[in-house]
Amino acid sequence: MKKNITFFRHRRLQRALVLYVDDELPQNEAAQAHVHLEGCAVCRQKLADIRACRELLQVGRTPQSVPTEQLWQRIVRKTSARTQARFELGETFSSASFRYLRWPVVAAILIFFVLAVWMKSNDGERSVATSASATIDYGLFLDDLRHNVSEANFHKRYPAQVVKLAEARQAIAFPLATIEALPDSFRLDCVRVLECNGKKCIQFTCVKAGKAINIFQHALGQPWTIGQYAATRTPICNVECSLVNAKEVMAVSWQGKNSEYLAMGDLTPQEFAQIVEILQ
Amino acid sequence: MPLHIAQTLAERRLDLRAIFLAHHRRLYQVAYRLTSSRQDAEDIVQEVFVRLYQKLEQFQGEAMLSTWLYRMTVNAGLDALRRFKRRQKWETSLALIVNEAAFAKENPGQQAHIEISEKLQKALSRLRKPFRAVIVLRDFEGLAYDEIAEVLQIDKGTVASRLHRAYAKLKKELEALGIDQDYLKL
Repeated sequence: MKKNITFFRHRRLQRALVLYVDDELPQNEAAQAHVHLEGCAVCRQKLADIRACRELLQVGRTPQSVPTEQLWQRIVRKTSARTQARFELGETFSSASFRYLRWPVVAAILIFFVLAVWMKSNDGERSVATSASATIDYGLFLDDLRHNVSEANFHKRYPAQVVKLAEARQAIAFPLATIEALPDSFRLDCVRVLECNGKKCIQFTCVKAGKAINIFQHALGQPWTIGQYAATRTPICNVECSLVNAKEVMAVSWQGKNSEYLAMGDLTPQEFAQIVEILQ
Repeated sequence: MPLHIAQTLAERRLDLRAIFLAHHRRLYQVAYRLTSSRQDAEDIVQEVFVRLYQKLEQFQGEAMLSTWLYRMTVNAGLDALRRFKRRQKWETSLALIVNEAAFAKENPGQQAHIEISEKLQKALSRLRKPFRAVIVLRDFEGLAYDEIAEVLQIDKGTVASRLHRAYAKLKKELEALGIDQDYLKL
């Protein structure tokens, strides 16, 4: 038991010897250590070893010559390069406050990029799906007319086939409009068959005084929209019509006996009334 | 580059130069004692000051700056040791010969010191990294226990205990290299 106590005293003191050498021990502990050292040869030897090491370290403390200017020039070159890079990237991006946000921001940009790519890749599929299943959107046609892009986007979405009048009659399930009944001033230029949602509709393109008029005819109940354009209900020739006035062009839609019509073009109200009256 | 940014950078460079002149020698010695390589010591000091350049605005007191510089240097030194552990085994003795030969050329007539210094550095390089760090900071740099504790981010008691064990290991290594207490009497 006594041996153990002595062992622990040695261990404790030996750990504190470094502090004793450096005068870092509290006064009472230093006094206890002093007393112990006087009577303990083992600890005295340890103390001597530490002092010898210390002395040797002081003797061997040969300072190395430092290449001051060379080192400074290296630092200047390095900091200039980094500063330039920081400046090019923008000071904010490298600032201390931004550093903590750097990775979340990078992650957000990456996620956004991946989502954008994914949405873009799905966009094609969605377009196809739209043309296959969604309602026909004549708003696109109005857009094309207003931007003078000659129905490009509309026919990209709803492919059309140019046909003869007789072929058009056979292609659809409802009676074809009596387009021939329009006065000669409405010269029939082209007949197209469009397909949307498995159903077919007809596009007549007429020309009056150098201006194109497009008249669409589709089956009753076939869903369609006119995009973002606002329509007002107006009776024309005792027929309830929806009128869209998009400044450059007008659109008038009405319901006939067996089908629905939509006429679009840069026409006067009188010319639209003439069309409604004849085709209804 | 806009003028106000250029001026800020110029001022920052001036500040850095002042700090460099005040501290670089001590940091170089620490780095050299840890790595036993002049090249590594230069790289470490350079890296420390480049990092400081980016953080200059954050330091308000000299004590805080000094501690940070030591901490960066010791950490970089220990990292370098970790990275170049294998290389060091091969190059330590060569680096020592080159370094001490250079010193001998600069300080003729100090052959005994050179020999002790060489063997001491060799013994130090054989110590484990935490032991080497405390000896370098305490005996070469003369840092107080509190300062060492702050630099190494350990408590004061651990500093004392590491120092105690470090001296015991160093003594063994020195004896293995043929240096004992009697050597000092020469």
